[in-house]
Amino acid sequence: MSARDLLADWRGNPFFVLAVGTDESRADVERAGQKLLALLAVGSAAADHYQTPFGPATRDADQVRQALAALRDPNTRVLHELWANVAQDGGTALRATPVDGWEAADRAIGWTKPWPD
Amino acid sequence: MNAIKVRPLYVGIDLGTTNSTVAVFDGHELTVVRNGQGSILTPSVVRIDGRGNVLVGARARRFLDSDPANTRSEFKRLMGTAHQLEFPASGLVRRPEELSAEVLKSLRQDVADQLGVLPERAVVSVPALFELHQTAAVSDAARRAGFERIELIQEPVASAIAAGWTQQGSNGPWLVYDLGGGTFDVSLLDTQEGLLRVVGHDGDNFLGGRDFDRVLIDLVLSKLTADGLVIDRANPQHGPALRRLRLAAEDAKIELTRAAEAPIAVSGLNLGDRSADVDVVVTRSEYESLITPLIDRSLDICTRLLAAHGIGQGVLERVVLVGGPTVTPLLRERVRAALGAGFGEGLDPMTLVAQGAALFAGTVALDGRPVAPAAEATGPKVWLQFPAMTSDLSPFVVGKLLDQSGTVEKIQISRSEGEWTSEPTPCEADGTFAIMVSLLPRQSTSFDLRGVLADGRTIALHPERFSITHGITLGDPPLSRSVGVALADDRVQVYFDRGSPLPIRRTFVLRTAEVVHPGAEGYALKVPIVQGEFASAHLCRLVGALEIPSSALHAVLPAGSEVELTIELDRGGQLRAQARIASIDQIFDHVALLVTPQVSLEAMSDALAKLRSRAAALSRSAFSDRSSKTAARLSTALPRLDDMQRNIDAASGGDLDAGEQARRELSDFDALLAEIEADQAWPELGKKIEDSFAMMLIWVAGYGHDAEKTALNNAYAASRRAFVAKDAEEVERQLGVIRSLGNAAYFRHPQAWEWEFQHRAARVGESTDIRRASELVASGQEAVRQRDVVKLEQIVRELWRLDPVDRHEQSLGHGSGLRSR
Amino acid sequence: MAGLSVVIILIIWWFRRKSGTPFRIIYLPPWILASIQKFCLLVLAIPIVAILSSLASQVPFLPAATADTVIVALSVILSIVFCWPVAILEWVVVPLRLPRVAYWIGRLCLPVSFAGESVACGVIYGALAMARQGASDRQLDWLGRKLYRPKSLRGGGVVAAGLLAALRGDRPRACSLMFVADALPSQFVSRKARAIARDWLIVDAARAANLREVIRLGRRRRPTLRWSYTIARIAERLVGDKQAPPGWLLMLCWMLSPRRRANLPLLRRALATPRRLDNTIAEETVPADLPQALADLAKVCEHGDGNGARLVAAIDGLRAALDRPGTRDQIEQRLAALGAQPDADAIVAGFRDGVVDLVAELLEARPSLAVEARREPMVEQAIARVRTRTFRDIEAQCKDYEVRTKSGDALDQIAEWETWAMLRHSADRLLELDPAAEAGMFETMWPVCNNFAVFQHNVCKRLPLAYEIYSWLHKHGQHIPSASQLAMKNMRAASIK
Repeated sequence: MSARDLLADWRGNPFFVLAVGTDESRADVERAGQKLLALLAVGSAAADHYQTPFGPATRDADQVRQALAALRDPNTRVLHELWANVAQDGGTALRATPVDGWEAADRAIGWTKPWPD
Repeated sequence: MNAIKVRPLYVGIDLGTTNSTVAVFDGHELTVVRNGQGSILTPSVVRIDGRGNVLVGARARRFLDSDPANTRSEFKRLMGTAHQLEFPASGLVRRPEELSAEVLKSLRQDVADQLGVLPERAVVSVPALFELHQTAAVSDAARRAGFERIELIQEPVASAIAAGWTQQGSNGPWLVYDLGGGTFDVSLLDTQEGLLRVVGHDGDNFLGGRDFDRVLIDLVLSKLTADGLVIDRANPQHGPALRRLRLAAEDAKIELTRAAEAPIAVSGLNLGDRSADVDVVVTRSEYESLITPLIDRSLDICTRLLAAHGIGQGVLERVVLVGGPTVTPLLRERVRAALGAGFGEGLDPMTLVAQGAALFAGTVALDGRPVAPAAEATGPKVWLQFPAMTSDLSPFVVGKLLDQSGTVEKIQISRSEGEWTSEPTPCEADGTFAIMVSLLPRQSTSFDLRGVLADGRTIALHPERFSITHGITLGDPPLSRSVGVALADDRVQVYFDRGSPLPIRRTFVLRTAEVVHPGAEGYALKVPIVQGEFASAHLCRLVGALEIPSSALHAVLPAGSEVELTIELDRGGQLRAQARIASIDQIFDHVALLVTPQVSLEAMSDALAKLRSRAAALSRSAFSDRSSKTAARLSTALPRLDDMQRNIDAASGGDLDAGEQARRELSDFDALLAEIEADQAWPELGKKIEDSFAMMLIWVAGYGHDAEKTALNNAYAASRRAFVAKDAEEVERQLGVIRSLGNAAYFRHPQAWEWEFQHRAARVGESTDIRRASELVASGQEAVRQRDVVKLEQIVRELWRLDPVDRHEQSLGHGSGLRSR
Repeated sequence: MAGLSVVIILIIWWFRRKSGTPFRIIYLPPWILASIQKFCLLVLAIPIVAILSSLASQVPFLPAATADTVIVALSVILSIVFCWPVAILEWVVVPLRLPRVAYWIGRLCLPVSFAGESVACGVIYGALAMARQGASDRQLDWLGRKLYRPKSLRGGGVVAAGLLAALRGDRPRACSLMFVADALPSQFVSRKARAIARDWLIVDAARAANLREVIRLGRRRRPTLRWSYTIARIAERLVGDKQAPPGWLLMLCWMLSPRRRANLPLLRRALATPRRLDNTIAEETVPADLPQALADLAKVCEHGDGNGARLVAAIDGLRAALDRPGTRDQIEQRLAALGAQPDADAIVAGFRDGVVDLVAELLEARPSLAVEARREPMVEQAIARVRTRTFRDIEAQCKDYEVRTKSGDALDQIAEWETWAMLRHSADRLLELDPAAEAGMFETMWPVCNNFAVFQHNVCKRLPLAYEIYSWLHKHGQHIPSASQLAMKNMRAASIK
């Protein structure tokens, strides 16, 4: 499994999917969800992408419904709030900075076809 | 020239075990529809006479007494089973869903008669704990009745909507206690700021008013037996007599809600070889003492549900009672005392479900009217999305301008009666727009939609007008039981947890458990889909199977091949599954949705006997181990074995419903015993670790190398750690290491192979090839005489290879061909 | 001379048919056999060219000089191709994206680097040509069918199967096959094939930013191969490994390695990274609060460069944040505000469970992290989960072996190599994750895999596969000497020496 998949579930946090803050009221969350479902139903180009602290992601009506259901239950909502509050300042407490990989490594061996995932 | 707006027709149907009801909602008010006889309740009874004419409702119910063979009632609990109901007069055979379709057809006609519109679409209620094949059967029945499209709603959710609609404004948890003719459902709901949410469900598919009748009949039968007249449930010849008694008992039951005693008088009872008259009197106190355990059973379920969600005493806002049997005074008294909450007032328990179903049709905009031909578009077309009903006073209206010729630049929405207008909102590049509108509280608000041109003029758009009702917002209905895929090692890969909102879809990557050859006879790969909360697949109910035929495979599939399995479930209980096998680039998607298997009476009696002996063995070991907790659990559970016996006896007398109940109870009891056995086995496992270590230590200490001694100590330590962490798999694994180290040392003893040979020779009858095993035993005995250890070792290894492979485990997983990643 | 060549070729052909049986006179390495064959064929070609030349000179309307020139030119070209097929494939045919030409050259030209595996050579270079142009399913099927020709597949065939799996997009299968091919002993895999396998694995790890894995593959595996060694040393410099080389050594490795132009950007990055002379690993500070700890955990997951200390620091931060009383109070306040029962313990337990799940996924992708990160309880729980899952995988695969051994059901050899590769890969990853699980794993695998290998050896005559299974069992059965000795005995029986 490639490292890029590890954050897939986290990117699907209901607060990210609905693009609402963790301190929004129930009514605001429902309204945001209702709006998104309607925009997705009419095929709005902007509605099927959203931002997360780990980069952009895509959503569909199913995910929006699941997100709304998750936030309706207070226990699951509080749990998701914990996961959604990620420090956004870009800095990190870790001393060692992460090392990037070698994206062009496949070209080095002459592999121009997409690398299997 | 605004056209007079015709009100929508949202239709909701309560398809009950005993009675069915239909209600309509037009956006403003709810109306319960009366049938041809003027009643709001239509008995769920169908009769087919000798000419093949079908009678439904009260007209059919009249014949239950006189012509029971051709008049069927209470077939709701048989939906989704393979039962066929015979109508000898006409020679016809019908399945339960076909009979339900007749009831639905009759209700549909009642709507047409009263309101002049034959509805094409409706919402139909189902019990919350109905399984997938049962809900699919209801959908099937509705299609047969001529509905073009239906949505299903769980009965407690429907009651909750109706109760919530009439009692808006309160916040907090509340309960719907729905005791119908055949099923008991309890739902815990929560209302916060107009958002109605189902928190949890529980219930019993085999507890209802019918059981109140049964205990009353048992009382009557015991009184008759005391008077010398024996009527036997297990005797098919007494079936008609029992049916007549049941009808009389129902009337007596209703009488006892008002009077202190009620007579049960039936003359001319047909007992096969003779006729008899019955005239007994039942007092309210006798009746109440009989129904108290049933009421307490329902209250236990309520308490279980509240405890599961951490709702303590006195926290409940109110309890809403639904269903005919809830008018019983004793029941109301006990429910109030046990749950500590008042009842919702002004709610008719008999029609609440239908009303809620109609309201739900409103929330999902399921208009029952036939689709009118599209009116001539008056202006540019817009594709609008908005909630038909919502608790939000400022919802969004979203749309997309389909005509993007560029003339309309902005969109404006205003209330038809004035007082509010939105700001003109520009459309996005793709023509979409989102405008927040303002609703009038607790009513339907009509809005006009207009486009704003570049020069500031406004023009009408198409549609010109729409309306939104302010009421409740309903969360998606939750799945009542977890759904997953059974794996070959008897575990379950859970796809949808209980409580997940519907519709829902998930994909997991699983692997094949064994090699699959193309072209082999029969199905190559079976993917069983099960429903239930148990970790063991064989305890869960099999509801469907995706079967991949071997003829469809293009190549051999080695074990461990990846299968990407997607399962989808919609609100109507329709299950879809798709398997994608990347290595051979094929996709399969035919799901056989199973009916519950018909288990024979002999098999059920057999299963009951096995359960009795298991329970007895558990009791004995609980006693010898002084395990009071196990003993207590068993003592509360053991009386259920007698209930099961009674149901099996009734089934042998022709009572199909009792047979289904017995089948269900056998399964549940099996699961309970498995749980108790697992609990008991845990301390045994600890003892097993110590015993194994002690035994193997002797051999390893005597004949093992240093590396083996170290490995043995490490394995013992690891097994203890796994035991503390309650990891049974890891414990078994480490026990395996301990055993293999011990065996390796043991076989270094000079006489070890001889001892092993003698042990195997004594069990030659268990080999897969007895003839070969016998030949080996003869050679082995020769080797023993010659003291040829090398040859003896070879012979013993060959004898080991003739041991049978264990196929039992795979059969537990419903024959699944998959394992988890 | 030609007659002598024919006789030698016939002897070699007969000798190779007899190999693998007890009838062994002398052992000659396959590359020597191949070289002798090629020499004899070239010698045989001389009179044939002479005959063709004289025939061409008799063709009407064709000047004799022209005919001679054409014949000589063709002969020279074909000789070059025949003598150095691998070089021609790598430098000409594969860059020109000609998979069928590549296959036939590899198949017919008896490449010394792939002695005894000319079919596999053809498939490998055909696959590499397809990797440049994008293969259609039909082409892949065509090439895949060629791999069924040889009676017994060895290392080259395993590499070929791995490349085909990669072209089909099946990364796990490709990885497993390449790992197995790289780990085979020299008698079963040529240096060239091993280099292709190891280079593929290096690229796979480097693309996923798993530089520690790159180092492990390039530096700690024998035999050392030039390109992978160079990339590994560059990776050491990038991650600040204590054995990172100085700049001059990096330059030297780069100059001696192939694909210099492609490696240059990476080399520049490495030279720009200062070399860390301090051997101690800096202690990471614990994050101040929960949001910061989550951000750190996300970074570790995103940029998994295999540093366990970073994972531990992030988890320590999470644990510290959860244990603070203020966190619980905050959770209870939120629950009360939302109208739920104030059960903060359930929420915290659910959160911890989520962290363990995420770490388990990370460890499954990077098992080497487990050894450094062991001391954290949540990491221990994650290790336990991954261990259980991996054991179930191994047990299920062993069960398949057991059933097939008893029923005598053998798959085709590619499928058998794939199944073994997946099983071995699962087992190797389990050992990386938890070295203490070796005894339990051996106990699960030993009897079944040994019997299966015996079945492949005796019945199916697949010696390389059987040898590979025995040698793996021998390596991991050291704690049970009797098992280890039996495995060694079987290895000798399966050896083609």
